[in-house]
Amino acid sequence: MVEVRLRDVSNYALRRVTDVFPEGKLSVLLGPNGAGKTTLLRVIAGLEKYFGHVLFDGRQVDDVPPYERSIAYVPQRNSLFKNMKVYDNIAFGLRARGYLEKEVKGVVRNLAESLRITDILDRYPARLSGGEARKVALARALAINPELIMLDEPFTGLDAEVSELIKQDIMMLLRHYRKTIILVSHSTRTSLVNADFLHVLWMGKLIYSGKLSQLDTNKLPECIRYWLGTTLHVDEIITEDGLAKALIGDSSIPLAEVPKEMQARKIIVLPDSVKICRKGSITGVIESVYRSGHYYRATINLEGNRDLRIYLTTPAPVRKGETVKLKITYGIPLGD
Amino acid sequence: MRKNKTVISLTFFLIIWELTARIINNPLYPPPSEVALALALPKLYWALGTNYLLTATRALTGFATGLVAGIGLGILSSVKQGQDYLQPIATIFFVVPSVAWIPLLIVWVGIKPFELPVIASFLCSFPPVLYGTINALRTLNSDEVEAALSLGAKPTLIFKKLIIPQIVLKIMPLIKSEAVMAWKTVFVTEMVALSSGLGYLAIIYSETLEVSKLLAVISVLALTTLGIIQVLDKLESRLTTKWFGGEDWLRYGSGM
Repeated sequence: MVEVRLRDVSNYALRRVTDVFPEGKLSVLLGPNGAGKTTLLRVIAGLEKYFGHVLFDGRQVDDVPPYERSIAYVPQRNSLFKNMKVYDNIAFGLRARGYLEKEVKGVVRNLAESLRITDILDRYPARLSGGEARKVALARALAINPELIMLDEPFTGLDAEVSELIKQDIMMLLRHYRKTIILVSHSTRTSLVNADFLHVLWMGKLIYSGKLSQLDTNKLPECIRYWLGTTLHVDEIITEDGLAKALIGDSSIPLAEVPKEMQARKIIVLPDSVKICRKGSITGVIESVYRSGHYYRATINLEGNRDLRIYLTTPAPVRKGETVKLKITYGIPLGD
Repeated sequence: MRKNKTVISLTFFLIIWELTARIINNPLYPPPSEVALALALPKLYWALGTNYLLTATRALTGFATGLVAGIGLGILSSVKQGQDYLQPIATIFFVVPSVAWIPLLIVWVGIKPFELPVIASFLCSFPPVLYGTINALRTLNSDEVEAALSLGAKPTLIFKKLIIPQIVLKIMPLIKSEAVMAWKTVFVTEMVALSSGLGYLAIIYSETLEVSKLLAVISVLALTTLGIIQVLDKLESRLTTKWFGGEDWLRYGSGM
């Protein structure tokens, strides 16, 4: 495990980023497309030029070549070696490090069993499905027992059902390995559900870095709140039949997962999870509406002085000052 | 199945040739049977054999040196963006037909029976192979290289395991066509400047109107180039199977 520190890192995509990725934790790097997330990973991996400093456990690694950094970097497109079978792909890093073939075999078999890919070890990458390819890329990264694992958009491009299963497999394995993990995502929901620490990049600048439980989007610039969502303080979080709900007054909001801390009173509501509908159980007053491209942005005041920033995907059916009924399809608990 | 179609096609071609030659009945347009008989003549057989060896040695030497130099320099040029400087030059040499250099080479090198055709065939294969290698390197999947680097592979290993297989298979079609072009270039050089080799024989038989023998020389050249293509096709197929699991290579661009 390693702690990664960035000091004033700048290049064509990043602007003076200073940040810490704590050791042994899952840090999620979140940001819209073009925010500089991938560039930041590549800087840490030593694959991109930059000004400033990168430190592993306090040791400056700016001049250390990528092959000596002990990092497993899984790029967005998996980058499996097309001229090697799955087995050889997973074994590549071990062989490069001079492991004996007997040891290589053991590691590859173990990982293949953990990720349930033993039946595809003899296949070439071109014969794999998207989900299988992701698993192989992850197995290849884990095989070298790296200090740091960096995954760039590991769940993108998979269909919803497969994605959920693969996510579970991948997250379970990552937790099991207890490594420092940096996961890049532009999917807010995936990131918030899984993260220990959250790092938000916006146009190359670091906007937020800290524990997920301490995230309060109300302190962030408004444009980011429209994208990231709104932190809501709720009255209570309860579970019914294994499903968690947050209570606000007489209304309840289903939660994406059961929170680790039931005492937590904070959830995040993503902009796309709020709908205006007559049968909605939450009442709010439209504070402002304005057009943003094909969308409308609205700020809605809820009872108890809570306000929501949401996008409306249809021409605004509401006017400023109007009282509306809202339905929030899900919220994400910000546990400890 | 494909083999059968080839046999049918060639047989059809020979039958049409035989029939039209019999109908026209002109010594300047002999039938294939007559060409085959000419090939069996001991005198022609001996002349063809010795000159064939000369042409083959010249073509292979020029082609092999061009191939090694082209791939080698192409790879070297990838260091420090050297390809940016080399590619324009390679492009100029690539677009000029190789036979266009022959008059200049006659002036510079002289009518030397080995050097002249070898340099001509070298100039035929070197620029395209260099150009192809530079392009193959440019289109190399950098994600794979970066993934390998972060997995702890040193550049030499990446080169051996990832870059070489990709480059070789990417420029294989070019290698095939240039191998044939090297023969053609040597043939033309022998025709215009030398007094030995298959090209020279072709000119002699043309001047003496021995059309059967001339066609025999052309047939030998055609069969040789056909053989080269067959051998290189097999090599490509083997390498594809060894490195990319056969037909998976066809899906190489899938971006996985």
